[in-house]
This record gives sequence, C-alpha cells and structure tokens, in this order.
Amino acid sequence: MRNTISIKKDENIKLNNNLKAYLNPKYAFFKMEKGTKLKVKDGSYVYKNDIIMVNSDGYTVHSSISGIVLGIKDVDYENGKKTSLVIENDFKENVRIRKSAKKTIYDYKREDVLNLFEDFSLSYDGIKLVNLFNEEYETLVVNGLDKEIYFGNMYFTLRENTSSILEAIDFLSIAFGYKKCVLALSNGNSKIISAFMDIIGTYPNIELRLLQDEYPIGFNKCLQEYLGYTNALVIEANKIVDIYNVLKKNQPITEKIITVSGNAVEPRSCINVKIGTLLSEVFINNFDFSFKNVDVYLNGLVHGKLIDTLQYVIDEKVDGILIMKKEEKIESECLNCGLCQRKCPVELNPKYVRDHLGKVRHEYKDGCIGCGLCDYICPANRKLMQYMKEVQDNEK
Amino acid sequence: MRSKKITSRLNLVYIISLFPLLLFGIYKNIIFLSSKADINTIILLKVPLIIFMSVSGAILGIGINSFKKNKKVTTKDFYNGRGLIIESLIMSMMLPFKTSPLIVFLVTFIFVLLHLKLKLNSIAVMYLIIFVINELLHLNVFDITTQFNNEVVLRWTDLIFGLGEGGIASTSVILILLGLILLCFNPIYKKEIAISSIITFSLLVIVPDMISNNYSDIFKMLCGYNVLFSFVFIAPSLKYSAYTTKGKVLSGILIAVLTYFLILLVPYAASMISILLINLVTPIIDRIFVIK
Repeated sequence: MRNTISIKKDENIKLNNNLKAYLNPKYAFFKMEKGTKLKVKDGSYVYKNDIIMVNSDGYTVHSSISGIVLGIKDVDYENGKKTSLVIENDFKENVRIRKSAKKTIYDYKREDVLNLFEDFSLSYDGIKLVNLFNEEYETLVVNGLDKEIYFGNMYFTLRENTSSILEAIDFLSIAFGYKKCVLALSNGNSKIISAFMDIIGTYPNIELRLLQDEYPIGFNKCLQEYLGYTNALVIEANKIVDIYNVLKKNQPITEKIITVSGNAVEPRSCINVKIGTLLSEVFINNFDFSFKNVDVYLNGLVHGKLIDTLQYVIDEKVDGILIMKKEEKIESECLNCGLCQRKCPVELNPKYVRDHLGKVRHEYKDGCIGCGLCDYICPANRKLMQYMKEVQDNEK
Repeated sequence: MRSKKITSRLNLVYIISLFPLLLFGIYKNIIFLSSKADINTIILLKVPLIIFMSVSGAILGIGINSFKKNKKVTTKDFYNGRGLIIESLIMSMMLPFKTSPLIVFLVTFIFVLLHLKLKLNSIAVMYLIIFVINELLHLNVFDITTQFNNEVVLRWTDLIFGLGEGGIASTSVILILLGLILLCFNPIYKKEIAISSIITFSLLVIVPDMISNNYSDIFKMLCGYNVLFSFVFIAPSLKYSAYTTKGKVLSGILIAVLTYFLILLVPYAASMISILLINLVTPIIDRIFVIK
C-alpha cells in the first residue's frame, strides 16, 4: 500500500446514536438497464420481494414494496439518468408465501448457497456473488471499515449484526474452504471492537484485525494491499449481512442503511431505507435543511460528488448524503506539484489523465478506485477524479 | 473537500528556511568580517534593495498594462508558484550587489509588461541574464575576491558554517542543509530533486578525488559556486520541474551530472544552466515514468 492519509474530521459532525428507519416510501423506482425484460405490466399489482424485471445479464430485480405498477419514468441515479419502473406503495407490505429457509445457515451446502445467490441475484460492485464465490481464494477478508470519513453505515451494520456477521463468516469459511478469515475493523471504535471481542472466541477461524482510521483503507483494493493478502476475496461487512439474511430468511435484499450527515443538516444520523426510495422523500420526512448556501455531496465528502438536487434514487451505489455549509473553492491552474500522483493509492497519475484526456484509455483500464484522494489533496482545487471517471467511462 | 493552504504554507516554509541564511549574512558581514576583513557594510542593503527593485519593476509593469487597459495583468506566469518576494529573496542571496538591483528591476518590468509566459525556471533565467550582462561588461563580480587579511586563519568548522570567503549562498553548507530539512516539511516541495542532485554531485566530486588522493578542490566544488544553494532552493521549482517521483529523482541526477561538467567551464553559472537545460527536457522525463 503506497499511501494513506489521516484526514482531520470536524469534531462537531457527530452521528446520532440511534439508527432511524424510513421503510414506507410513497413510490419506489427500479433502474432498467439496456435489454431489461419487464416481468410486470402497467397497473398490475406486485407483492414485496416479487421479481419485477430481469436484466440482460440475468440479474433479477425484486420489488422492495407491495403496490401498483405505475409505469416507466426517467430518474437520476448515482451514475446518471436512467429509465426506471415506478411502483406506488400500498403500505401493506404484502408478501407471497415462499419456501421457508433452513433452520440454521450451517444446514446449507456450498451448492445451495450458490443457488440462493443466483436466485436473488446478489451482486457486489457489479459482479455476481455467485461468480466471486466460485473462484478459489485462500483468504476471506471482511471489510468493516467505512469508505467515507463522516459515514456511519458500517458502524451501524456492525453494531446491529455483530453475531450474524461472525456466524456468516464462519459458515462461509466452512462451505467454501477458506484457509483464513479476517475481519478488519477500525481501531477508533471501542464499542464495536469490544462487542466483537466478546463473542469472537467461539469462532477460532476468524482473525480480528484492527486498523488505523486512515483514508482510503476502507476501499477493498486498498485494504487488501494494506493487509498484504494476494489471494483473497475482500467483501464488505454489509454484504456479509445481506448473505446472512438471504440464507436465514430466504428473501431478497430490499433495504439498506444510508448516512445523512454534515454541518448543515439536523439530525445527523444513519437511516434504514427501502432500495428504490427517492432521496428527496427520505429528506422531506426525516431531516431539516434547505438547499440555500450549502454544498450537497452524494456518497461523501472526499470521494463523493457535488449535487444540486435530491431527486436521486437510492440504489446499491448510494451510501449517503453529506450537507455542508457552502465553501468557496476556486479551481486554479495546475501547480505541477505532483501530489496527486504521489498520493494515489493505486499508483495512477491523475495529472497526466487531466492533461492528456482522450489519449490514455488503455493505461487506465480498471485503475481508478474513485477514492477522490487526488481531488482532496490538490492544492489548486482541481477536479481530477472527474477526469479519471471520464476515462473509465470512455473505456466502458 | 480540499486539503487547504498548501501553497501558502510552502511560501511560509520558504521564508522560514531562508531566514537563518539571512540572519547569518548579517552576522557574517557586520560582526565577523568587519573585524577581520576589508568589508563594506553597505552590502547588507543588497537583500532589501533587490526585493524592492523586483517589486518596483513588477508594479511599474502592472501599472503600465493597467494604463493600456489590458485585462490580464499578472506576475504569476513569471514566478513559479513561489511569489515575487520569495523569488527575489532567493535571487538576492546569489546575485552580486553592484549591477543586480537595476537589472532585476529591468528584467521583471519587461517580463510583466510583455506578459511573458516563461516555461522555464524564472530564477535561473534571471540569474543567467545578469551573469551574461556582467560578463559582457567585464565586471567579474562573480569571482571570489580576497576579503580576508593575510593573518586570518579559519578552521574547517568555520568553512562549513559559512564563515569563509564568498557570499552566503555559496558558503553556508549547514544552513542550506537546514533549509532543506525545513522545506521537506511541506508536502509539495520536490525534495527528491534536491536530495538526488546533492547526493549525485557529492559522489561525482568525492569519488575521483578519493581515487587520486587529492582533496584540494573538494570543499570548493561541494560548497562553492552556489551549487548547493541552487540544488535546494532553485532546482525544485514547482511549475516547470519534473512531477513524477522517479522523474524528480532522474532530473536531480541529470542536473548534478551536467553541473559537474559545466562547472569547469562556467563555475558560477553551471548549476543554473543545468537547471534550465533539464527544465527543457522535463516533459520527456515525466513521460517516461508516467505510466506504471
């Protein structure tokens, strides 16, 4: 691992200790990729957890609410405007009766697990979990670190699911034959550490690793490099919780935790929401803030992006919103200091990309992890990550 | 979210790192030399005078441009991110007293007036212009002149601390290295250039002398001719030096090698010419190392 930096946090920005919930959105939106086949018709009724569409690559999309299908609409997502299926909630949470899950997760065999991953289209970073778990790895690394400095998604995930996480890791290590399982936690949170320490003794094959609160260790690629495991499957703790819930309940994942924080919003807290909910709806019903004189960051301050509307759909890629008092930032000419290149955790050269846009495609394939360290570190306030993303998008 | 104030911090660190040299210059010229050598204390006015002339030249250029209603009036293009005063301060430590203030004024004025976007190390350019003018006028101000009375005997520690003959920039080894240590505290200071050039130059000077067992010139080569000062304060210029880590190391090595050979021909301009020449090939050097 080449570079990590310690980012000084504003001590006044602290999250509320209680996990909020907003599980009754009026509408839910589900992204339709190219080649998606709809499994429902306009005006039809859908149950919660029903398959509503199948993507071209075989991903099934499940409804997070029960209600009436209203039709198709273009809405904003983290990665741009997309056509979406809109469902209006009837607030009944009607669910079809399904085959019940096994008594304990240890009753599943490797093949059963892979079948469940396939059935519920569990994916991670755009890759099907079934493909990830089909590969042979020596080590399973579970990432219990938040990517973003002001986010608490991982804290609440770990706090609310301590025993489930350990049980799921233990089960996966048995089912998939991992020689070593490592759970990486931030050493800055004593409550979480002691909660895991209390019960980890019953799982001798899981090793706890406490890491310094440095950026960008929370990114899987950086964590793997930092820990020094070459042949390891690195997966975030919230995905382990998803796996546990799928095995335990035999139901798809329809909820996720997001963070709402910053020095211009009240209350600052993590909130459990339905996938497909509009951010604006969550805000109107739970938070107090105005768009005047504030900077709104989707997915965080360092690696997130500045947005000017809350009409974004919460999908797998949305981790939270940060609302900060407006700060004047003037982008100036490059100083040629080379800090962006020196600090890049994956040894790329953002300055070069910025200066040679359109000519660097092949060198940057699968390169940038989008940590935003180049943006953060640039003394000239240049928006370098934007260009890195552009190169990656062109590549795709 | 941005990491703030890095450039202003660099400027502050530059001033702090030059401060011991300035103080030492006052001590050397007023207290030490005045009692032992034939020294005119008016030389102390050199630093403020060069800064004043440089600022005056820039202000006059800006004033005339404003008068002509040109919109773009700036000194930024000429000064490589360190600012007018800091660059003047660095120049004042190397330049001769007799002609420099006037030439600094004229050069700054012309550059600002003409909006010259110099893609070269500005201090090196200024130094070389003054060097050439002085050479053409046969002023020989860059030569070390004997200032000491014959009976003055200096210990080697005096030489290391900069009490020997010559200007502050060409004699104060310890203080220049202290400046380097201070500058290393700023993340955007290109320490790789300074360190690699110092190490390479030292090896080039010391190894042949060790082989031939002749150490007579070793101290003069290492500490004289503003070489060390140039490596620490001028070569790592922000804008037009290499920015990739390996590129910085390579350009430092090349600057040192070139200086070593040029020092035999033009001792006082060797390091500046090397910096400028390497400056020209910097984009190529960076390009070699840009892709991992």
